Amino acid sequence: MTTAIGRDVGCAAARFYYGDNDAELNHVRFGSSEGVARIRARMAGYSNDELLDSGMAIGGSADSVCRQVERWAATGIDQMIFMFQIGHTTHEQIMRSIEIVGEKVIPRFAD
Amino acid sequence: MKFGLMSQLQVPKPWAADTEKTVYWQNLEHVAAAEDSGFSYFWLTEQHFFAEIGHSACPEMFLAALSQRTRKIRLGFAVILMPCHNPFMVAERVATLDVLSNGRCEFGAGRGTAAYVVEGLGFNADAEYAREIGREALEAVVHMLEQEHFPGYKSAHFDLPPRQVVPRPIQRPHPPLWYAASNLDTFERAGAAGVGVLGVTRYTHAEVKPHVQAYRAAIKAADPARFVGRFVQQPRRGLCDRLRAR
Repeated sequence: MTTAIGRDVGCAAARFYYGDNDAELNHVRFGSSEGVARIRARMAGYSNDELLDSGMAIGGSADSVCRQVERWAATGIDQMIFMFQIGHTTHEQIMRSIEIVGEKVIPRFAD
Repeated sequence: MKFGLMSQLQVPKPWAADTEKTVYWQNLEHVAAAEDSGFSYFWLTEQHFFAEIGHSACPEMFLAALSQRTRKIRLGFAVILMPCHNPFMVAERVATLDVLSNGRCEFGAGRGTAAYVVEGLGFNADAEYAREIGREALEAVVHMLEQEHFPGYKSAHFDLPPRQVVPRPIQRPHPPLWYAASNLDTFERAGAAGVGVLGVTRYTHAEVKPHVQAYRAAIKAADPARFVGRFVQQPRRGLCDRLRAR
């Protein structure tokens, strides 16, 4: 983990986002309490490398994030949308992520 | 490539008395910082009842607050649950945000995929029904945004009277339109409708790529008479820079 948009922070946020959390209504989102258990087990089963490699999470150093964004750019999309305010990511981590992406990622993808 | 920030106002437990307020106010700060950092868009979901997961129940109010704290960043509904609202009030909210933000509103529309939400609000959540009524509602709303005097709208599910719908949006003929795509088939449907797509990363790069291509192909091949809006999104040229008559 080299920066505040670190792998661990990004991957923890992704796991929370995809359902590995304690929200009471998850049984509604995922069909049943068995559905919740299945989702949680699946998300917990992914390593950070797997989450990042599959594109389900983004995180790491600015250079690494640029490479991950480049993989999405190669699919033909014209906007990359980040969700930072997820799970237990702190306000300070979010502000730092916004700053780093602004300084070191966005300029590399200038139109 | 443009960059956007999205939030659904997550408030994970444990909660203190001021946790929800803190999250709301911090999210306002995030968007102001994102604008300063070069992000071009902010997208806000509409969610109901999903404690911890998404406390963004009144996106138009949150975006209105942002309209007064930012100057450049585009403010997007991602997305308005079309089957759950009166079409007149959707048009009024979209136009109001456009006025307050001086033409920075982006209008994403969706059917609402969570039956718990749609039924909780008192509406039929059947996917096919919701998609159909959502499409009709969007068509009616586009007419309201576009025309000074809405001539009324009749469809399978609506019989809306002619009215002068105010306020009018700043962006003419209407703010850019987007569909939410929680599944990949929606990409092509959005292309045929001439609107943008807001995708989610539940899929891998390899899974998404053919659908982005299908979206582009569908927009190119589409019959403009079937477009939902009055102009199509122009990928890689900035949004809405070319009008196309219906």
